[in-house]
Amino acid sequence: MANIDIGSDEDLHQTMMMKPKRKGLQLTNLPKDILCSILSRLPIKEAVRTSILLEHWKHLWRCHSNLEFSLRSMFPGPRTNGPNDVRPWKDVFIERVDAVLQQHSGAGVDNIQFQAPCDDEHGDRIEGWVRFATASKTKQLILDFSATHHIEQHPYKIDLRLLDDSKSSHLQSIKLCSVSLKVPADFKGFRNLKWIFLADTNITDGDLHHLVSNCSGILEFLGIAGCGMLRRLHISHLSNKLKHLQVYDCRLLQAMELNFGLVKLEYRGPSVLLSPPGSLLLADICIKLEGICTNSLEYMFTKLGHNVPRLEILTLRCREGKVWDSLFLASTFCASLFNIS
Amino acid sequence: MAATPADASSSSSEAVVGGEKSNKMITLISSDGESFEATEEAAKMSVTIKHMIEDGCADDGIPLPNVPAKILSMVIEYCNKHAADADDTNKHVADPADADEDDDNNNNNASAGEKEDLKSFDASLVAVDQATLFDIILAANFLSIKGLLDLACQKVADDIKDKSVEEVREIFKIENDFTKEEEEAVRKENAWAFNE
Repeated sequence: MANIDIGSDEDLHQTMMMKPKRKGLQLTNLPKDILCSILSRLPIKEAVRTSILLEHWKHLWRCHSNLEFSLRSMFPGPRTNGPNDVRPWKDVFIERVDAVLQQHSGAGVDNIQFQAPCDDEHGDRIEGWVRFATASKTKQLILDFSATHHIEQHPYKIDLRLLDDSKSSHLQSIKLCSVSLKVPADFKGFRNLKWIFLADTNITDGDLHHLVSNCSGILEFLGIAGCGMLRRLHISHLSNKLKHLQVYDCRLLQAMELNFGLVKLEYRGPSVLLSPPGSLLLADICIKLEGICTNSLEYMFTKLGHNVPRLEILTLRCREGKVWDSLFLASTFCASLFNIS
Repeated sequence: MAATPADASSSSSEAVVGGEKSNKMITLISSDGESFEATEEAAKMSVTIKHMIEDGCADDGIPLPNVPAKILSMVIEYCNKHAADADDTNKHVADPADADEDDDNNNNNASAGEKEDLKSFDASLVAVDQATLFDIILAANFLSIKGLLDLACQKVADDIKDKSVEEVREIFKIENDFTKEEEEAVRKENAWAFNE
């Protein structure tokens, strides 16, 4: 972990104290924390390149607070001829990421994301990344190992204890895609986690329940996509802080028990039974069903019925069927929904 | 008509608790002695000024020895424009979900048209020469106006982005003070960033 010293703010003080007809401020005169903010808005590769601009900036980029490692950011753009390296791209990617993390100051990170089809084969290196993220006190962590084509690979098994509460009280936002997730029995939860998004993870009903229950006091958003093992989503016990639920393409999902404080529900997938613990604050529902099954909408809202008195926006999107059929269906459905009293 | 400190603090706490926006005008004095008026609501976009108001130090006008008149007027312009849309605080982390799905229902207070208006205002505010832009950055930093600081820093980053090392040196008048050997060493350390 490098210690950065680019000198004092004396230059700046000098400039400020000069008489009105001073020469204009230079970029290099700006205070260090502002320069760090500027460099953190550059993709990591461009930030690293600033190390060559002048001697004082050799190590400046190492305070980068928005580390986004993806195939696009770590590999050449369209203007160049491509890497000279003949090794598998995965090895090259991992090597470059490791090099950047090793030079990085290790602190002041707001967001760190890893976006490439890595898997269990590179488990050790990935674990190093997660440890770095936790130690850097990052507010947001993204592990997106999804692949555009379906590859037979063993997903990386993330050990949530690496992000354990005592160390990761800074974590507010986490996104995990194409990882294997088991929640340890002694898992204490994330003290400040407001935002969870899980995609293509093989998490079970019980583990998901355990995970969100332990974050229940703070959690505001829960997103689940393509989690093929889920059958029942049970969040009715969660605090009113959870306002936004997004559930997409969970093929085996049959029922969702919602929480009182939920305000926005977005759902895409097969027909599923929605049920509340009682009256809900739900104001905005967006549902995209695969096809129109005459009874599917009615089925979904059977138990919800008149428990959504605050519903303001209901968006229905159906793939199949003629336009008039869907309009007719939607209108009869809405009529039945709001006529129940 | 200077109010006593007690009056000032009670009126500002009233403004906060009642949710009413006080119509009180605050005087801001630039480094070259020029006075500017701003509504309390707009002035409070600066956390520095907000604290001074709450501490009752704002009654006779607030001197800002670090901020020249030209810059102060731009800063006040920004605050006036953005004070009404003051709900864009604390989004320090970009919401990854927004990128995935179409966001039909925007949570912001401003309508789409108002947002476009703000965006083009912001863009023209920072479309200035370098020295002015850096002055704005320093002023926003000193006054703790996060939105303006982010806006101006982003502009600088945009000016650096996608440019070659030589272009950046030219635009920002940076002198290369490396020896040839040192430069080689730096390039080698992160060759992947330079060679491709």
